[in-house]
Amino acid sequence: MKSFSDCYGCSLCLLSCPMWQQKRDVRFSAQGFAKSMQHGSTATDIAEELSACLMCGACDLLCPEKIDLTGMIAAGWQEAGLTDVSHTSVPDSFALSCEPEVKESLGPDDFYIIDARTFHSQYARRIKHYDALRHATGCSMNLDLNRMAIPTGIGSLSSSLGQFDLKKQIEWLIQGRTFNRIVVENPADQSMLAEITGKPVIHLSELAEVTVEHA
Amino acid sequence: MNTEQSLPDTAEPNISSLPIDPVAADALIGIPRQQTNPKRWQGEQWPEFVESLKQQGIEIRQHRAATGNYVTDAGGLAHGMPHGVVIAKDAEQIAALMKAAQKFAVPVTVRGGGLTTEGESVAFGGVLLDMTGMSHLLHIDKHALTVRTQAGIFWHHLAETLRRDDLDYLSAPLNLTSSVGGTLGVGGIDVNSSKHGCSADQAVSLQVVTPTGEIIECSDDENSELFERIILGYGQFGIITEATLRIRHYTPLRMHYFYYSSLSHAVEDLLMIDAAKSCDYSGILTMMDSAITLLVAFDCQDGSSDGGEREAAFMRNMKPKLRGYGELMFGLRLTARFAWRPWKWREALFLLRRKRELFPDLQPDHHMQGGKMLDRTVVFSRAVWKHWGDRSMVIPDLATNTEKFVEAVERGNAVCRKYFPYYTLYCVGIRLRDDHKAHYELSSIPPDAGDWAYGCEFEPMYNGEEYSRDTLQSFKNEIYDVGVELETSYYRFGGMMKGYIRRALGDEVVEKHLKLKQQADPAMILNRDVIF
Repeated sequence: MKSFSDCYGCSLCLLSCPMWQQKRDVRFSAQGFAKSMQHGSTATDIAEELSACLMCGACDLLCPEKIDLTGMIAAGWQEAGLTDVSHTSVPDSFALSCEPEVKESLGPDDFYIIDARTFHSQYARRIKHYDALRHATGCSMNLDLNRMAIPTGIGSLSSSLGQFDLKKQIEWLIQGRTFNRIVVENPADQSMLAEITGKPVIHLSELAEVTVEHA
Repeated sequence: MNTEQSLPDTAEPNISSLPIDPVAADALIGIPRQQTNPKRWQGEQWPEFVESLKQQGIEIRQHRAATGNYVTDAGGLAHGMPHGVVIAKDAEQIAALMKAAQKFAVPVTVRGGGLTTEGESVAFGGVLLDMTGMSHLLHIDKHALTVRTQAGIFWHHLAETLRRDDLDYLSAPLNLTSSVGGTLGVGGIDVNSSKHGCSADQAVSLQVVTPTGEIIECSDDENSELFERIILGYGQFGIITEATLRIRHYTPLRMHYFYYSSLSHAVEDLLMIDAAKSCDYSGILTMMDSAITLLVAFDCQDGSSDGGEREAAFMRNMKPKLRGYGELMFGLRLTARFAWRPWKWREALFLLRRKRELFPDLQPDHHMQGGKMLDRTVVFSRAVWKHWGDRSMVIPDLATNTEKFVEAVERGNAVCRKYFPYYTLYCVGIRLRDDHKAHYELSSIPPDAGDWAYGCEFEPMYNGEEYSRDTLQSFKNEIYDVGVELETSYYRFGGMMKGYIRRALGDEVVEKHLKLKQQADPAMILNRDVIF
């Protein structure tokens, strides 16, 4: 596995990085971390920057050198004494998303929020499923042009430290999208998304119930 | 580094007394060599300059961890460290920076995506201004089909934001991390440039900070002389802080590939289909001169039959004239050709492997729908990075008029063959605008080009081999020497290749621009050593 010393600064990791999107400062990117460490910084020196990371894992998939960037960042968190609050409670709803009821009850008026971290950790296996689901139902999804999931950031260490502006992120998430309902995989996203968007937000598990009610 | 100066005349050569060669591990020790990187600026008046910025509330990062981010560019061959880094915030901040830089004669190197290959965005001392700090889209005019954006934005992010409104840029480099400002300064070539022209020609108006710190809006109608110099001006006459660009409605596209084993046939066919304006996208991509692909594509507008009609007309009228083959027929011909040449089986295996790796990446399922490519921005750019990107890249090129293009490509190809077993060529046409001829002076657009200019990039594929910097530089020189003989221009003529500017474009035009530069930038601090 390649390490941060292999980063040559191509900037591809910036493209789907929610932290960089908000800060527009290369220090706040996996590349910025790697380059800082290549030039003598310790994790403690860049603790502020490290703590802004959502650990969504998109950078791992975009890095042409296949550097374990989230591994590097996790090690940095540990060294800098940061606690990964977001790691503890993310349920993996992928199996649920494969249920036939989900496909039946999703429609063009829905905005489906994939949980970014679980998606990116199994990207190769899951992208086809979500792509098929999107095409079959006409719903929109929180995918960017790279087909990475745009995370909400809700419940992250970064947002709890005030390093990540959730409102700004959700505004970006919904910009230009037309929908009447939001479906989330991560229950932690539910209440804040409802509050900011003013739309009904349901968890994936509720879709099956909705389908039964409709029937 | 001139080692002669380090050795006393009478001294026996003493290896241990020689300075360490910072350039290449295999450089011949003790042999004087030409310095290709500019000399590092030594930091005169730097403390006073920094103090002046601090008093104005401008943050300048001097820690090695910050400056180290910018140690090289996409080429990975030029290395230099700035004394300090400023992250661009707004035009006023940049104006204040430039005024202080003029006063204290501190060089300022402007960097967007850092996708230069000749060290043009590497600071050899002085300030590095990171424009990605100014990378927000400001306003979309859906009626006029224009977008106003900060110039540090990557084309990828511009596309990402425009797509939310079903819009797209017109043409942009096949690279995700090129910045709008950097591209407008050099050209920007896409596979639809034969239809839409280069990216620089999409600019309607610009906000520019001049080298002396004035903030000026310019366009074809307002401050047009400045506009002329900024567009394709290689960053010599100002810093683009905002740009208004023409845009269009988003369309997926349908691709067609034609395969050739003759370079000249492929190039002639490219010229023919461009001249007939018969398609929306065209270009040539090769694996050496063995597998040559002519790429043709059409915009497919939903609800409109226009794309379909053009495509059908192309298939009816142009395809029969093309000398390329379909994939199966070409594969059979290639197999037959290699079967009788066992000494070329290694090359055949390489081609086979590249095909297996590359083709799926040119049509990934999740970027395709119903045979149409949804996200060309991403598909092409990721393929470029994955299959052609490397830690050190040299991509010399020749930019010619229509008449010289076949010869330029063939001669450049011969140079590639001489230096590398594996390499690739990328050829594309650029539609020129009559009303922008003044923009093209001292640029990659050759002065003798008519309606189209053509560019060919020659890029070695290292395939795990290590090549010395000297080899790579010699290769570039030999390609550029072809250009001198044929009187072409070059896309990458700045930085380490700037020695070719006078030879290629002549003293008269260079002197004219030098005088303009001296007037605009009295301390000659902005993007020093890129051109002048």
